[in-house]
Amino acid sequence: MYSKHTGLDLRRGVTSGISFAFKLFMLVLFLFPFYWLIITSFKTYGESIVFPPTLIPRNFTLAAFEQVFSRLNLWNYLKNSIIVTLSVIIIQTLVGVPAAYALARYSFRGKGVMLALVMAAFMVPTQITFITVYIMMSKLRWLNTLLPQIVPFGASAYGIFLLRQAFMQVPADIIEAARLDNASELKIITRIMLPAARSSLMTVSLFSFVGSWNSYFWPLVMSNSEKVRPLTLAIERLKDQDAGINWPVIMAGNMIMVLPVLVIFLLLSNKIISAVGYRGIK
Amino acid sequence: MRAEGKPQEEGYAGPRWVPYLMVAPAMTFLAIFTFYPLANLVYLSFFRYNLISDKVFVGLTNYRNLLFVKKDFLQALENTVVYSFAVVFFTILLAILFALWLEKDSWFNRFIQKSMFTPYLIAMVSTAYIWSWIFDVNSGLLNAALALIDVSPLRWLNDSSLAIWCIVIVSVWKSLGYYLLIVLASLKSIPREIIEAAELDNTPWLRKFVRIILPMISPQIFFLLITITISSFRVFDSVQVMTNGGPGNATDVLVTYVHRYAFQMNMRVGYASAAGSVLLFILMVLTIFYFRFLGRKVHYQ
Amino acid sequence: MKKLFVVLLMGAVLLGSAQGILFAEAAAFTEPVTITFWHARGSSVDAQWLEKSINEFNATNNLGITVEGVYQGYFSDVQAKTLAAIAAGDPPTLAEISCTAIPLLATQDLLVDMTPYVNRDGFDMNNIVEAVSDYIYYNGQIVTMPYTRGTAIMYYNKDMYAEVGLDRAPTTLEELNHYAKLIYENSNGAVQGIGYTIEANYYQHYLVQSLNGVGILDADGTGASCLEDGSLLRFLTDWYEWTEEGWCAIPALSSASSVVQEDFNNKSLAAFVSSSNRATTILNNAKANGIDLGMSYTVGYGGYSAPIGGGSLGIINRDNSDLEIAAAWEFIKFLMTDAQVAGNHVASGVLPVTYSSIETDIIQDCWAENEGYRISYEQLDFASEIAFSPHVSEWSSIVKSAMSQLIQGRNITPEEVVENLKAEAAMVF
Repeated sequence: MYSKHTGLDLRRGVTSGISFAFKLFMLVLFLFPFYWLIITSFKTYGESIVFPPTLIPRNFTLAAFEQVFSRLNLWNYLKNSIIVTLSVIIIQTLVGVPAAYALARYSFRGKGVMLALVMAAFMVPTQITFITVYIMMSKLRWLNTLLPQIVPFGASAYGIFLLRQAFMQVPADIIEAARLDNASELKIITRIMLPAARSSLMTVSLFSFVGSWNSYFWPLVMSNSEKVRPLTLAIERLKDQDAGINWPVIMAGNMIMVLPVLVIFLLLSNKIISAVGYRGIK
Repeated sequence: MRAEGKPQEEGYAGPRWVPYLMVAPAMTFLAIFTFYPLANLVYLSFFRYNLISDKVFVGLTNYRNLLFVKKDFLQALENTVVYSFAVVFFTILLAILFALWLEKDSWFNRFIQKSMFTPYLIAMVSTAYIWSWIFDVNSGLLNAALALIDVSPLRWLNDSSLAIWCIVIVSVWKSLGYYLLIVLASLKSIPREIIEAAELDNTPWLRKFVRIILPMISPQIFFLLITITISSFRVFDSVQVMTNGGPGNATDVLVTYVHRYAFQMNMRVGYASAAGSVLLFILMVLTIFYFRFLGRKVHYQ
Repeated sequence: MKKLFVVLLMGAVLLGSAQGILFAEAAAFTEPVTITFWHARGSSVDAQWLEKSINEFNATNNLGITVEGVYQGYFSDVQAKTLAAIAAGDPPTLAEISCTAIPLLATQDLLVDMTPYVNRDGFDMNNIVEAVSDYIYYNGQIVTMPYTRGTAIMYYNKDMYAEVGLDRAPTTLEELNHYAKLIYENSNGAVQGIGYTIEANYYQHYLVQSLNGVGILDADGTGASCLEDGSLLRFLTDWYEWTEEGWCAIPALSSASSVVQEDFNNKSLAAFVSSSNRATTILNNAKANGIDLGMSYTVGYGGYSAPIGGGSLGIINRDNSDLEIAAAWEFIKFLMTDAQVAGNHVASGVLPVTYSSIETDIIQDCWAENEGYRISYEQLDFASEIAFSPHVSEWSSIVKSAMSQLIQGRNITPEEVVENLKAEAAMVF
């Protein structure tokens, strides 16, 4: 159901002019740090620390990128980031969808408790669980593998919660009708639930993707060797230990890390925005 | 007739154990990687322990030091509360304002929405780097801008009172776009009849907003309120990269506090666990608060 | 033909046994072994040199030993990760451990005693520079070998100081301050004279030590008399005043040493104190920015005063097989050869840790070209390190936080800081 708008009529003329100017200001405010990221990566070190800072690079150079590529084995880190992120999304979906469905559409003993537990899990920061999990991973001898970055995130409390909301919105009659038709539970999930919750699913996947791709603290603790470290840590590597942060190099590294995410976003932006927008309300 | 105790929703007549099977994987994961570490955390908080030598039971000593003897935990708590409420307040306020303002469907508005959404996609670590530089006292952009209009430079992140607000700004900047879209969607989902009825009435805009729009989107706003509060209490990356808790303890938050005591200070795992337990307790209180309220609001519809 | 064959065979046997004699004791290496080495050498200069060292060792050791180096972060990260790994039962074989971490590990019996190996191989312990022998021994055992030891150096802009009348390095803190202030005044506040970052057990340590002889922690490591005898109060009050007057730069909140170098390269700071371990990088940056870099002894109240710190090599005494430990010793021996020690010093700026390495051309030539490197070594005559105590890690962290609140936050008085520290001390010691 749409409404045209809530009636916040902007009077034409002056107000609309101010409004436009303000909108431009907003654009600048939100896009400027990106712009800064991009141009700094094309500057020389000397120019990056000069004051007042230059808005356009005086000496356009690719030296920073060269340094990044030569100092890091980028492919290794990229590969790790991709594997970890995809694995997390897949496992979370496989684990979360049935759980959300069960919590949404069944009534069974212990449901309330489980629901409360999911909510409780949602608020626990990883900085609190890491010590115990670290020791667990170490005892399993998993610290030289990608597993510690994937397995602990198998269940996403946030994801389960959101999906449950979406599943609860599906009208009961449709389900009853399907059951009368002798549809299996699996069919109900794949044919009815998932399509109905498509937008929520996309939101949750995006959330997991961004969270996993950008995670820094957890892989920092859980990886004991370079071959399992993801891109976020590689970029940290570029920060010459107290030898002066080489801003162009760091920004170049960050650009490389942000690029895949931005590309995906631009390609799917319309879908993503509509998905996030319609999340489980109606 | 439906027998009691059977999962009988919507004509379901299958085995009773199916729902349990469905939640089992999720619950297993949560049990192992969330609840067991939590239990371990609370358990450890009653010991003096540095991972290597044996645990020494000290009862409530850690808690006593934490809350009454040392002052830095209370400082971290205060900082976290201030930070969280500031972020919640500004995020929701700005999200609502912008949503109202950008509601009309035009390519320009959509472009702005997309632009505002992009910071959400970048790693907090990267964001913190960029903003650290912008806030830099000697060569940062903000002070350069201030110099242009002849105002003396501020110390931003180095200023005890200003530092936490800088971090608030970064947080709001980063996630505003995401929450904006959510509010926008909830605005768009208000039934047309209600809006049109209000328009016919010629009610003044403010009253229309407060009496009609706000209540209609309130369940959503409330959900946001709690979600943002909870994730604000967990802030870590931005503080770690931009100020490392400084200057002094001015931007120390609960999670950086726990991290520091667990990792950097002779591995006082017991003490850090006590701090973590307090954080947990606070979040639990918030969650119960959420459950009580949200329960009511959802039925409101 | 047969004779030739026999001769060759005998030659081979002789060669083989010659090698056998050389590595007689190493006959234990019957199978290839890989050992892990966790380190903090992250800067490009350090990383490159270390990689070279490791590759050379792996290629030439003929004992089937492969060293795998893993960068873990700063010293504090190496410390935390190593302790966590030990607790979890899967520690590295070898680690580069900072001075603050050595007491923690040694007092808990986590470091292998290298004495049997030293004796077996006739390793000359007297060859090790005495000033860096402090963290080698614990309870009569040899627990570490110095590797990336360092001291602090005053890096300064020769031109700027010459302009205000100081054409040589300052010899006391009072002298330094005097000229630093002049630089600030002459430039109308555009250029600051000196800057310190907050490393309580390193920089502030030597400053306080020049006042009370022991620094922020007492020699026996069980208390902090600087809190009672007024030395810390005096230093904090002075430092606060210097920053208040403006000519002493206030350190940034994160990556402070990086910011200080940026300002120096930007010519808005005329001098700063930093580790000698970064000498090469700092020199290169200064050259690139057209600055005539001076390196000199660090100064404290009334004269020279310097800290010693940096990293040492320790073999972890848990969950490592005898074979791995023996292999680790071979690697340590390799790193302590003249070529390696000299090369390490020249490549990155870390202190040369053996007397014999100093005689080599590598070092002599380097010192002839750039006296700054020699300075760090000479400074050892009057340098001191913080006490050997398991409390160092925690105490210096607490002091650092207090200093940060005073100097960066500036919302507290030095007296209050000292009072707070007294309360903290009661809980630590």
